[in-house]
Amino acid sequence: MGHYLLRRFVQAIIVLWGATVLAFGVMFVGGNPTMLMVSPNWTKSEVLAFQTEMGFNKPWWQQYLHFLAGVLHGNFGVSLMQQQPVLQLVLQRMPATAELAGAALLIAIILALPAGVLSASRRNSGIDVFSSVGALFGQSIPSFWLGLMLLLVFSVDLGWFPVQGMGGISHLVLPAVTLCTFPLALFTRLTRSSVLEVLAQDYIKTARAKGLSSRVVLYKHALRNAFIPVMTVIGLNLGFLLGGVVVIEQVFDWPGVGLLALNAIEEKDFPLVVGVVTVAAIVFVTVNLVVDLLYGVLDPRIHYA
Amino acid sequence: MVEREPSWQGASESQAESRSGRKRLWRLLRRSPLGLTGAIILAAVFVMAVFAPLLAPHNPSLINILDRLKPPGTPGHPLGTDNLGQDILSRLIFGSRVSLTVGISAVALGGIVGVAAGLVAGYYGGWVDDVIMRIVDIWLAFPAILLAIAAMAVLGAGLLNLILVLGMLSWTGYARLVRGEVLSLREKEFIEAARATGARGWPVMTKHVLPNIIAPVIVVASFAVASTILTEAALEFLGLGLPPAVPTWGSMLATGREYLSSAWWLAAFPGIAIMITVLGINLLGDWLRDVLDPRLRGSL
Repeated sequence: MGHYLLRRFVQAIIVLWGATVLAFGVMFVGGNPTMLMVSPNWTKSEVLAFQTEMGFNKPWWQQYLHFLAGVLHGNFGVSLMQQQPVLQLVLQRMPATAELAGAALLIAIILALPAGVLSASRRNSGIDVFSSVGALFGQSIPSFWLGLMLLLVFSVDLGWFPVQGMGGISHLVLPAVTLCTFPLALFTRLTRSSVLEVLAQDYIKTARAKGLSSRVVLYKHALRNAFIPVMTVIGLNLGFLLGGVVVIEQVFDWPGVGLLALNAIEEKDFPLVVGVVTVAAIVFVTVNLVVDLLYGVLDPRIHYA
Repeated sequence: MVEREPSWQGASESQAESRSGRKRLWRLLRRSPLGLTGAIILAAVFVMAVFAPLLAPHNPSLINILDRLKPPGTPGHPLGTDNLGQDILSRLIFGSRVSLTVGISAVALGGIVGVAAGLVAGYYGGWVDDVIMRIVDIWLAFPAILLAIAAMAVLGAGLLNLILVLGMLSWTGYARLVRGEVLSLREKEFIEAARATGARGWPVMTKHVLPNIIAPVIVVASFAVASTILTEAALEFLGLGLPPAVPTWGSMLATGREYLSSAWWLAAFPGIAIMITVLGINLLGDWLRDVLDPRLRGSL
């Protein structure tokens, strides 16, 4: 266990280091980063002064080392526009994104588990067809378009929910429902196929043979075992599942990290962009590590060698 | 190919065999109503993209301010017009070109890079494997869309940039899949036999390993086209895809957002077009998975 922990930890450090290279490198894929940030009506001397101030006149590797040294000290740079430390700006926005993403994941899990179990236990029934077709649509619908349509119907026409911004529960409903569609569809399909697989196992037959009710077999034996692969997908694909949050924050004007990044790009505030991307990567690597280590707790069959 | 039987000859299937394989696929497709629906939807979108100039009732970029914001059902404009008086149906038809071009090219690019990386990692193992898989981990650490947004902002709008960025988002999936497959394959007798004849490295990989992993790769690629089209639309929606003059479904949605309360049809139709296209690809992907590689059912 100790050896595994150490190896996993070293891996996470390497991944984090690589993430800083990638996040910083993005600024350089188009050539000189200075040109991204200056406005076309600046004079040449103004551009040169800016370049020197930002350190963009130094070789790229020196700039990277400077950036890395800063990150190690918790300094992710300073926003050009807002003249505030990037980390502070990101941390201010983090709770809003966490609220939205957490609500969406919660709705998805609460609805997907029973839907998947019911589908699997009543294969080819009306419920199964309904949830399978629904899941298929959920995976195919562009979430930001769904958001617009929900806004159109429930906010503009019916006036049930506010059009944009953050506030109480009523502000959260539409963005959370929008963001949950894709994970909901995915989890429903995963739970269904996972439960179907487990139901075919010998220990389920044993449980049935000893006279346990089908409800106990389904929810106590089958769901518990089927939950592990679903959990894996949730943990390891969090970045992918919640990628939609960036666009949905834009649709609903939700003041989270995604909107911060988009505004930074609009304002050509690239130190802020790089900082947001780096912090996001750190959060995801940490979550993945935690999920990985949690498997041992969830599934006693896993022993770390 | 369908059975995924590792044959000693690997790829050297005769042409007759592959033709009968294709016939068999077609027979299977006709028997699956969902797969067939997906194929028909996709074929229709293809026809729309290829014959766009013949099918579109108007020039998609023809601005006619007098006819602006006409609702659906207006004579000559069955789906209405946008804020510049451009015909929405014509723009939808031309928009299919961008979605398909970008979706397929980006997936091809990501597929080639990812399959090559996975082959090398799985076949050579050791530190090569370690390095490649750590790069995969680093890539997966990012919320993909955030990286794509940042890269597009730096590179600027353009078809090639869009394909490049979206392609580089997806290679990791193939790399992981292919590496796993190669790890299990390389212990098999027919690979050992190939090695025993003196074959090494690339020839063994391309001639003997690759043909046996092509089925799962096709399945993953089909789903990747669907998700790439969704991401492409999202980037366009954020104004980070192609120059504004090019009709794309995502940029039509962005315009539609501004007129949401006054002219719903601007946002409604492009979204439906994206959804139907992606649905068709997903239906076909589900069917391909069931036919080619049912083992993937739990994970995809």
